[in-house]
Amino acid sequence: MSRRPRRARSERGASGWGQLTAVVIGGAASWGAVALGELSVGALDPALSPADAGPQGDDVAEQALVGVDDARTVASYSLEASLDPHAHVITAHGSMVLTNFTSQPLDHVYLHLYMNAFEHDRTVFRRRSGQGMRGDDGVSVDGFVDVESLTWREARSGELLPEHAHTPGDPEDRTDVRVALPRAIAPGERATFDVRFRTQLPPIVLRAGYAGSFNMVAQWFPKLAKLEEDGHFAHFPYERFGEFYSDYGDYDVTIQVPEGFEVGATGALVSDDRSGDRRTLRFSARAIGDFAFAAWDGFAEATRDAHGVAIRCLFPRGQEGAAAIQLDAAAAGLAFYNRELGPYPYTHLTIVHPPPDAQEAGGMEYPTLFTTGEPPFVGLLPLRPRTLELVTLHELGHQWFYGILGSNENQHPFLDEGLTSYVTERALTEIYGEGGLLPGLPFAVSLAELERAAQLGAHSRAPVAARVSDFPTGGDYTRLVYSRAATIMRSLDGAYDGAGRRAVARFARAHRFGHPGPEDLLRAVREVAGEDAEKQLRTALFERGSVDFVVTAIDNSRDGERVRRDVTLERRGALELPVVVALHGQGGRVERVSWDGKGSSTTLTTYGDEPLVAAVIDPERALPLDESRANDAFNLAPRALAPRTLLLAAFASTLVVHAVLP
Amino acid sequence: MSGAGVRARLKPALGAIALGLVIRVACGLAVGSGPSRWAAHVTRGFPEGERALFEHGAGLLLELLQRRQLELRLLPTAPIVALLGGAMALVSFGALVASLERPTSLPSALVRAGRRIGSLVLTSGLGALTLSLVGLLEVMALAAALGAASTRVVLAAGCAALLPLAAVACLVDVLRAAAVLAPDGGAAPFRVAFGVARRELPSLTLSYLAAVFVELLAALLGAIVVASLLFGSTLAAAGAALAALVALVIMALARAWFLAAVVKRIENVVLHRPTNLSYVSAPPSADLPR
Repeated sequence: MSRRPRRARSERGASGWGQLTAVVIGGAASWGAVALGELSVGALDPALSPADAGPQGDDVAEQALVGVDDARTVASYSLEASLDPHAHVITAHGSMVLTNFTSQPLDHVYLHLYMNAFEHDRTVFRRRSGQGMRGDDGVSVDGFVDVESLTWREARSGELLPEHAHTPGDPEDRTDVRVALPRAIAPGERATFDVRFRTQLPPIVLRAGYAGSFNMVAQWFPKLAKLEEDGHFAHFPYERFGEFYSDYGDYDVTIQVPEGFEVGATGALVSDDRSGDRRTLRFSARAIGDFAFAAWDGFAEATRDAHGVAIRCLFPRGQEGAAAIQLDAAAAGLAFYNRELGPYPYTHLTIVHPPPDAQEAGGMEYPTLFTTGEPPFVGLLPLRPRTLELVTLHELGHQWFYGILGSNENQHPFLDEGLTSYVTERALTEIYGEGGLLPGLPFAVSLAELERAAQLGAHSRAPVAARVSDFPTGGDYTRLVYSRAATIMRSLDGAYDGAGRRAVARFARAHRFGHPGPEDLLRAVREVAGEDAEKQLRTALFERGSVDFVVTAIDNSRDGERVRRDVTLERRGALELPVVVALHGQGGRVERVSWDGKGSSTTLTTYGDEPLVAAVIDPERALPLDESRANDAFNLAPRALAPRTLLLAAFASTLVVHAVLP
Repeated sequence: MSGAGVRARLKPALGAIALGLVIRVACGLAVGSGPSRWAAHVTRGFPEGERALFEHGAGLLLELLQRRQLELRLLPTAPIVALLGGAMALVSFGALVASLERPTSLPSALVRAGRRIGSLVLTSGLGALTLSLVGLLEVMALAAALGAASTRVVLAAGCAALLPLAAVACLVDVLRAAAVLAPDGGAAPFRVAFGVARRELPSLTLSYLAAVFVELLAALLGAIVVASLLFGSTLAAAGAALAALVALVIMALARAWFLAAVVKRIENVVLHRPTNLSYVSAPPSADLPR
């Protein structure tokens, strides 16, 4: 999920700083005609075939990548839902099929009933305020999911859901309930649960809900908790900061809405029947972990085919320009992520741009669907930040880190948000340039540096690799999980010759449709950059490791005909990262030397014809984890003036003075 | 007003226009010197000097902002600059209006404006208060509309909101000009201003919008040129300084052009002057309304 920025809309971006081309409006018919089914890897754009070596070398590129045909489907759903878009109620029934792939018999299952987070103000979700995380603290309490019936077909069971089911250990919360079974599901057995339920959406909050006739229908159906290899279920209540964790499965969902409503949903549209005043749409997807849809009678539509994927953008009428930006960003992003992370394995991608009064629904990812949006004023700014492009690239990145890789977002949120932020920075820079986020400024402000600034000092609050409930505040969560995790990976790049990039590429390819954890990422780093790199990453992620390099002194002395130059450096913090130091001679010559970062201090001694006047640690700013750059340089002859700053500030001030004074 | 009429009025007022420009630039430099000293201070260790702030994605600048390491002691005392600058700007404004009304030396115009400083302060204060209130109300209304309306509607509403704001701003300038030209203090400036407003406010508002458009255009183009040149070579930076100066001169001239129109309306409407387009010397003060 995109964060704050969304306010700053982050989650979007314009990143787009780039822009558009043709927009195709309307086109529901052509959308409906799109072929169904998902592609396996080999069927994708030839440009994305293994011939593309990817960033980390042939060894990874030549791996047989897992496609949807190879994914292990554990929890599949077939649902028929009817949405009353004005009462914001979904009435649904259908079946859930759980395959017990473990070697253990299962005498119970866990169900997530996420929408119950909004049934009163004492739920786990409601008991915690946002505190710096997106989401209105004044959350409405009129959302719920009422499971009217739950039975096990093969066992011909009666009603399975206990009348007063609640989250284990928390009677006030009903988002995570245990369902005892009349008999165990044997290893290898498939159990079909028939379910009938009614979901009431709340006014939009964080990810789901309604605003007017716009309905963002997410976390709306009873969902089986993730079955782990050892036979236990990874279950947890719906927490404000946390997201989800699911098994892969096949989804077949039929949605009925009033005529006049457009629907954007996970998967591919199989059929679209209009009968009287009702419209019935059927969506299907294979090897996905969740299903969400948006319905609104104010949507317009634009489509684009890119890299073998049919991209569809639903957006508020009148915002064709914004839709074009998103389609451009998504097309460019697909090319980038396909190359860096392995090919997008589905044939469809849906972008939902919510209306202005439903911004809380924006910046969220679901399989083959994500939401975007930006505050209306952004489009009015003379120098428009590329926030719409940013959120598009970020949410698109989630199609890998959460979608295709399926990590546990509750237990290890950095694996999806952190890695997504990291690849988003790189995608944004590659597509729009270093200063692409804020074009038009006299100097480039990079997203990566904004992330770096945001996370400064955050390591003192909690480890990056913490579960969602362990972060003291929402602000800590976003700074550590999004910004610091991305900054750590970028520092690996700088310290170990692109290790972050190579490791993430390897990690993403090796665990497609798997459910990797932090150890898998560490292993990938070890494989591409060695044990020391892995050790530093572990320290940074799990032990609040930090680093601050300082130049403390320069000493020049005569040694015969030559000058002996001593530069004293310090390293503070637990991270021992190798670093480059630039030595500036009196005559303008610059030499570069390296320090392995071991030990808390060192003196670099060199000999030359001229004395040194300055020394700069990490002159290329390759180690953004360095806590302070202000102490990275030492100069024996500092400049007294900053004329450019004077001109810039004076001109800006004079403009203000001109506007204010008579 | 024809081009010849404008030139006829502006030519004797060039000294006052230049004074106003100098005061603005001086205020800008006073404010800008703080960030400049701060930049030199925080980058003292870097061989590239202040460039270190802006290179590599502006990482050092963002870090310092994030840590709030702004070295406040190095920043200018903005309130003092605002107070002194405001007082000087009021006097130069008065001198400009006086010069537009009749050819006179700059010192004489300053003396005339100085005598009206009380009325100028009063009318400026009231004007600023009114403008702030109107602006605040409009911003609140627009903000309320942002959540529900499309960008196009908000943009249209914003443009529509400029009209009343421009009318109020125009009226404030008429009032201040009347504070200089009216023979008495007290209510005389208000009588003159409302007399002009009753008959000429729509046309004056259009003139005001035209002047503001030119000023904004000059500011925007100036900012673009400055931004694109400033961090280049020394020669490019010098070009940026020149571009900034040109933009400010154009803005000052546009503002003076509008004030010339205001002065003319005061003469024509309130003082019942002939409406020829050439400069007409002021009547004796006994002819002015009381």
